This record gives sequence, structure tokens and C-alpha cells, in this order.
Amino acid sequence: MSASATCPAVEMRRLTKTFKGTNALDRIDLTVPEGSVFGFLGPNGAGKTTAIRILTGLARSTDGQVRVFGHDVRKEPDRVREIVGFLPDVPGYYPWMTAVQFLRLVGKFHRVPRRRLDERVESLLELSGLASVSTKIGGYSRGMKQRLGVAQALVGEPRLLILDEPTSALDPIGRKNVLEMIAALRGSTTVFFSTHILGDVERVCDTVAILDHGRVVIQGSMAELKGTAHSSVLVLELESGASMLERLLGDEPWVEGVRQTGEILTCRVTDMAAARNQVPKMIAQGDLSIVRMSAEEPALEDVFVSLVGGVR
Amino acid sequence: MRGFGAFIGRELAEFAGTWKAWVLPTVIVAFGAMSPVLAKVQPQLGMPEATTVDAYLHFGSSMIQVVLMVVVISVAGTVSSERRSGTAILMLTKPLSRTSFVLAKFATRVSVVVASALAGMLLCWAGVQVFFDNVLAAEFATTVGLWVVLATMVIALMTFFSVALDSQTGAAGAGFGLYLVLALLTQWGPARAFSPAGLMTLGPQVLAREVVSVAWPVATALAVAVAAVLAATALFCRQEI
Repeated sequence: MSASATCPAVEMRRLTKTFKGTNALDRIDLTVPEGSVFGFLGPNGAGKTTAIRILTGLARSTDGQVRVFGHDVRKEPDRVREIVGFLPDVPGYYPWMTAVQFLRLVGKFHRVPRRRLDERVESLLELSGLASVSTKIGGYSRGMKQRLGVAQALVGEPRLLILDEPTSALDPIGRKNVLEMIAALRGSTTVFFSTHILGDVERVCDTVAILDHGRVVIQGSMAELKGTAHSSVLVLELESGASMLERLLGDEPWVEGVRQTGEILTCRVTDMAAARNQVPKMIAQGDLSIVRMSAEEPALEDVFVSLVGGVR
Repeated sequence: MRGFGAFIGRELAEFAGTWKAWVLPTVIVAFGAMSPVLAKVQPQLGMPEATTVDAYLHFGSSMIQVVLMVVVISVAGTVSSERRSGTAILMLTKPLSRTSFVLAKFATRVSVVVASALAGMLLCWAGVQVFFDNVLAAEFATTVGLWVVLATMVIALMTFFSVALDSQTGAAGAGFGLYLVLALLTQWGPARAFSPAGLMTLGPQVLAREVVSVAWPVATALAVAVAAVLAATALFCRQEI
């Protein structure tokens, strides 16, 4: 099949990977729309890295098919590598090289013309905040290596950028920098962003798939995913008597759980209409004074926990 | 062969950036420079007066007994160390074919060995010109050529071991085993005549201007080298990284 401009950036069909009789990936179907920042979520061991290794041609699937912009990764590996940029979870560099040398090497693999490569290297060093760094990569911090990782993945002006856990093990500033780099790519490059950090996904992704035990449990836009949450959060702030109200709420069938922090109660409720009707009555019956009552949008974490489970 | 030229450039750049890459050339060049001097001072060490042949034999035996071991150790991690450090992942997800990856590593190491052997040979030859009379240039060049063929075969086999065994130590162990097998084979006449083992013993005969046939040892060594590189490439293309 020849690739076309209308092909999805990534298409996995019944993708299966078996290790010694165990399915690391179990008939995965996944579509990543072109231009999206796609969050590939899952707990540790869910199969994210295995899927990415197959997607990048580092491993072979046991069954099924993976296409990148219509190109089969097994049949056209050279074509796929030309249009994909990849940052592994722990990028390995040649420690004796400088960032400029490494970016130039990658540019030569992509056959970027010399003048264009000069410009590209300069702009990517600016983007990654490494323009003023002249030391060898062996002396870089983890955050600097991750930012260089994003930069090297972008040298060939890829149509698809695959990032495997790019923010794990980074400090808050390093994480913020990498997320800002990813957000800056929106609209120009499709980003396939694998992570188990929900906050990162909420911050930069517009489309999400959740993987668990080698299977895609849900895929859709961020809004669609949040819409599947079967519970919402109700926050109540009282002048006093929060403990009494907590006991009352705990007996209600539409309350999943209540957490008290001082005079603030955070309730997870399955029926918001019932909550809005019943809670004011409870407050009146208990002769309590309320300061604030507000419903909050379910977080991605709520969806994730409800689909994947809590403690693993 | 996508990315071959760029990766060769990287391999060569490593010489500018690391000291490890200089170990093998330094050892070869040092033996080349020292062999005539050591031969010259032999009488002062209570040994008989040395000749041109002794100077060359000193260099030749050092190349067989020491430098081949250094080759084994320095090539043992050619591929496995890149896999372990994660650099292979970063390289092989670029437009660089796995065939280019293996062939560039093999070609670079053979080039370095050839260039170093040539430099060592020239230094040894120059020293002999200074300290001795008869320079036996053609015979000496032949013995160095035979050593280069042997070293090429060892590099090819070490490249294969480095692909097949995910450990530098394991590959080095296999290399030492290979060396021992070759050394044992030199004790058996047919093996000396028709196998690469002959390359370890032909030097003194060539320098003594004996009539010897080098065709079989050279042909079989080159055949083993080609087979080892092809096997390394085929295996690497099938491996998961």
C-alpha cells in the first residue's frame, strides 16, 4: 500500500507481542491522528515501551500490523526512520561528543543539506536551552540529556515525534522545560507521548489512549475520556461540623468516598443531581453553615484509576 | 547501506574524542619503534648479537602474541557496548541501516589496524636501516601483510562475537578461545598448510627466504572473515534491541 497524506500518523491493528507465552501486547488497535499530541498512558509494565519498540523497528511484533503515515514499519523500515524522530526513556549518547557534534551526526543520517543543518542545529540548541553549553555530553545532567534528546529527535524535521517517558526522573524545572518544548510542537509535528505521569498528559495532550496489561482500555480526546468518568467531585467548605456531615454523606449510596481536610470535604459522587438535591437538606437538618459548595470536573486521574485500578 | 558514510565518520571521530581508541595503534607503533632498538641492545643483555631478521622477528612475534590479544579486547565490545549503553537504540532509530552499522564498525577497525601496522612496519624498517645492514624490505612487508590478513579475520570474528554475545567479557572470552585454537592448530601440519593458523607461523620462513605457499592460509582466513561479517550482519538484522 502506498502512503497517502490522509493516512493517520500511527495505525496499529491487532498488534500482538508475546514473550515466552505471555502477551505483552494483546491485539492492540490504535489510531493516532495526524497533528495531534497523543498521550500514550499506562501504568509501569502495561506494554507502552514494547509498543514503542515495535513502532520504531527495534523489535518485531508477533502478530498484527503497524503503519506510520501508511508505511508498514516491517516492510519499509528505512522510509519510517526518515519520517520519525524518537527519544527513548533513557537516551544513550556518546559521552565524548558535544551537543553540536551529535546533532550534526543525526543531520547527516537524515541527509540534511549543510547550510540547512547549520541553521537547524542552531535553532534546536536554542529551543532546548543548550546554545550556551560547550561541554561534552558526558557532563550533562539528566534534564540536559532529555532536552538534547528532544532536539536530536527533531533534527530530521520528523512528521512523527515519539517520546518514551521523556519527563520521568526529571526535576520540576527540567520537566517543565521538556513539556514546554513538546507543547511548542503542536500543529507542526504529530507527537506520540508515552508516560505514566497523568499531569503531563493533561497539560500537553489533546488525544489519549490508556494501555493496561497489554490492551488499550480506552482511546479518545481528552474531553471524551473525562466524559466517561462515572464519578464527579463535590467540594464542600463549612464553618464547622464537617465531621458530622462526613458521617452523613458516608451513608449515602451515591457517595463513593469522602475525604476531610479541616472543615473542607471532598466527596466523590456517582450522581451529581442527587448530590445537589440532598446535600443542602443535610446541611439544613444538621444546622450547619456552609461557606462553599462546588462541583469539579473529573480529572484524568479519576478516569485512569476507574479504568486501570488503584494500587498495583 | 543507508547511513554508512555518516557512521564511518562517527567511528573515526571517536579517535579524536577518546583515548581508548588510541590504545591499539599506540601498541603497534610502539612495537614497531622498539623492536630494532631491542634487537640492537640484545648483546648488552647477555644475549647473542642480533641480526636484521631478529629485529623483524621481534616485531612479528609481538604482533602475534601481544597485539592480537589487544585486538581481541578492543573489538570485543564493538556492538555489545553500544547496545548496553543505549547508543545503538538512538542510532538505529535514525536513517541508518543495521547492515551499515555493523559494516562501518568492521571497516573502521580494519582500517585502523592496517594504518597502524603500516606505521609500525615503517618505523621498524627505519630502525633496522639505522642499526643493521640488510633491510629485507620485501620479506618484512610480506610478513606484515600476512599479519594484517590474520588480524582482519580476528576482527571479523570478534565483530560476530560482539553481535552474538550481549557481553564484552563474553566476546573477549570467545576471542581468547579462538586464539588458543589457532595456536594449537599451528602444531598440526595440515592445519598450518591449509588453514588460517598457518598465518601465525609463516613469518620466520618468509624472512628466512624459504619457499612457502601462503595461498591457502590467506584464502581461508579471508573466507572466514567474509563469512563472519555476513553472519554478524544477518544476525544483527534479526535481533531485537
